[in-house]
Amino acid sequence: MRKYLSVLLAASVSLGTGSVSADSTKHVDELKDYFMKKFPGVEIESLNDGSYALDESLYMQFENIEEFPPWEDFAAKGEEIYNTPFANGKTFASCFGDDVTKIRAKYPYWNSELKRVVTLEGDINKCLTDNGEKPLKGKRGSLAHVSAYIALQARGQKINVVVPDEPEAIAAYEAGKKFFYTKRGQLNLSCADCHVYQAGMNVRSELLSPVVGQVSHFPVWRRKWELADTKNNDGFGTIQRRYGGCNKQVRAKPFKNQGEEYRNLEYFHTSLSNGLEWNGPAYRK
Amino acid sequence: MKKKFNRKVSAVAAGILLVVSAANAGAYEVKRGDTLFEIAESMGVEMSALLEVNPQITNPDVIEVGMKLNAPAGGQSAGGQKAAYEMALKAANAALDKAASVGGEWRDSRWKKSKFVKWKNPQGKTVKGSYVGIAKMAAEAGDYGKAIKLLKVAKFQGEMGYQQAMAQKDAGPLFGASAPKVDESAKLAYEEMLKEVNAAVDKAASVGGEWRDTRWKKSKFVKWVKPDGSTVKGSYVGIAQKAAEAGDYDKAMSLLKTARFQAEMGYQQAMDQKNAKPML
Amino acid sequence: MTKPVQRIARFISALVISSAVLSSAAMAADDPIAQGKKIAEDRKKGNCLGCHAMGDGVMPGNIGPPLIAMKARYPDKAKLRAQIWDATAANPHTPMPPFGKHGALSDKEIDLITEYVYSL
Repeated sequence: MRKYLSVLLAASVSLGTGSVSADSTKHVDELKDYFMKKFPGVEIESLNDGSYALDESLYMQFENIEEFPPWEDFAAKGEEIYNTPFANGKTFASCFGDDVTKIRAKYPYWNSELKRVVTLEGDINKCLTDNGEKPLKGKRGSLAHVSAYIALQARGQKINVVVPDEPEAIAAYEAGKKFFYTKRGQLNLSCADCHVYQAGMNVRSELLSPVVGQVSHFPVWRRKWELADTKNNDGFGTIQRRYGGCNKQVRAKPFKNQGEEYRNLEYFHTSLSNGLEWNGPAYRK
Repeated sequence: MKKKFNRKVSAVAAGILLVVSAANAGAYEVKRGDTLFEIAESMGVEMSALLEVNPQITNPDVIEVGMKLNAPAGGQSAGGQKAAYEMALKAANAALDKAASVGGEWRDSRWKKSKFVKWKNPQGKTVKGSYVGIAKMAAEAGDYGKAIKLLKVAKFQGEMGYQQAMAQKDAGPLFGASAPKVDESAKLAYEEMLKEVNAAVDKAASVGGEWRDTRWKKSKFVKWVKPDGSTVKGSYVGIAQKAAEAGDYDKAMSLLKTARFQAEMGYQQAMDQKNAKPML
Repeated sequence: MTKPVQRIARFISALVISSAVLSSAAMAADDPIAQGKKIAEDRKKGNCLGCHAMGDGVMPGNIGPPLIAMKARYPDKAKLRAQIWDATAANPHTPMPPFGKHGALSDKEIDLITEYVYSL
């Protein structure tokens, strides 16, 4: 691993300081090429609508639903939470800045001091605990509502995850990449199996979404989660909620929410949508 | 001499009878996949004790399905079984820790939120959980046999998950710059050969001498089992191309060699009979 | 009863018993395929319809090849069973779960599924 890192470092040092790891930009381009070949006639930019970009009738149904989205009220709850001052008088704006539209596009990012990937949900909770408030636990509910509100404000902005050419940042990116391509669980499937190699194919009647454009619409409102929540019919979930669900589906033990594995995965995963627009929150089946 | 021998045999026989009668006769029926070691383990006894009360076993490596085994007296004691259970639990957890250390733990081995394993507890209620979770419940209820069985699966899953993770040390995309390298030289050699063969077949065809199975698309003469296990049939050139597609250039080359031979023979055959006439 | 008559009586009763066994065995012969179908279609077991068009199953997935003309594709039933037991042996990158190798299905269940799939 060290040898690889030093070679990469040598290669990227020549690009100058503050530069980006070469592999991260190259891999996105490779994947975009791959999907352009796989889905001729489909605009890569439209892949942030996921499977709906691949099927006209599904897209029409999706468009209909998004006219009066089922998630609107819950996103409004998120706005309320965001604008409510803490006990100490401060607000979320004291952590994130005054312009709420500028938040989403910053995340996830590599924090060179803390030497770890920082996610939006992670920083929402950090802001709370830094100000003496209780964190919003889990991967759904209020945490997702706040995240949804923030996502809504940034719609249309370009996704741009930058991997600085620092060894630990590259290692985190590579760890996320390896996780993505590793078969796991009793059912022996990798993220890539469904969302790269079999993207566009059907599992039963479910159309598999391609990985390019996948992160753009999170936090997602999933009809399946809406129906399962018999108490509140709240369909919202964060991206890491979905990671856990996917891992469980292939009979792998899910990893810790906001733990190192999922943060690195989110880092790599989001970079695969670089150049596409943030379009969360959105409805998905 | 004979008398002494008989006494020894009868003494031994009597001894066996004594031991066997003290044991639980026919306590266990051998099932497919069982080993004596595991049966002893689940009874909480040493294998030697198990063999002692089962003199009908002449070869401990060979036991038959349906065979009835006697259990050693006191071997079914809670103490012995509990010890076996605790050992199995330790082994399962060790294997699962090892899998977890490389991110390879499966969902239902011991995760507390698993609902995969179903068990009817002594109160008649069906509970669901992981293999280790339900094993612990079964042990608490005194069903050590069940617990040990579940722990064996948990241990197996730990070993498989560890292997799975370790086998993918270099997991990465199967396309682009990081794709696994195809043997370019073999591919080039095949492509050259294919060109040659096609030329040879064309030559034979030009004099009406092409054979049936060399390249004709309707031939079903050559059979090949693909890497996915399915069987395809076709001509020598046709199947060679399929093999090349699947990356099996060795197979493709060997088939092309035969195709070339046939083409040459066919051409020869036609040319030798330029002056074919009835032999009246 | 005289000895020969006894013997005949015993023979007849044995015949009756064995024919009874035979007829239930004849019925049981259909069972493996029906049993195999059930396990293959069970979402928590084979879940084959997830990826394969198979028999009369509705809304099948299309990731794997349709399971038809199986005797022509797999003349050797053992090779078909091996593929179900561990598809990664033939192709390490396959998305098909190694049902036997990973213990997702028991040997018996795989035997039954093989019987069903082979009949398609």
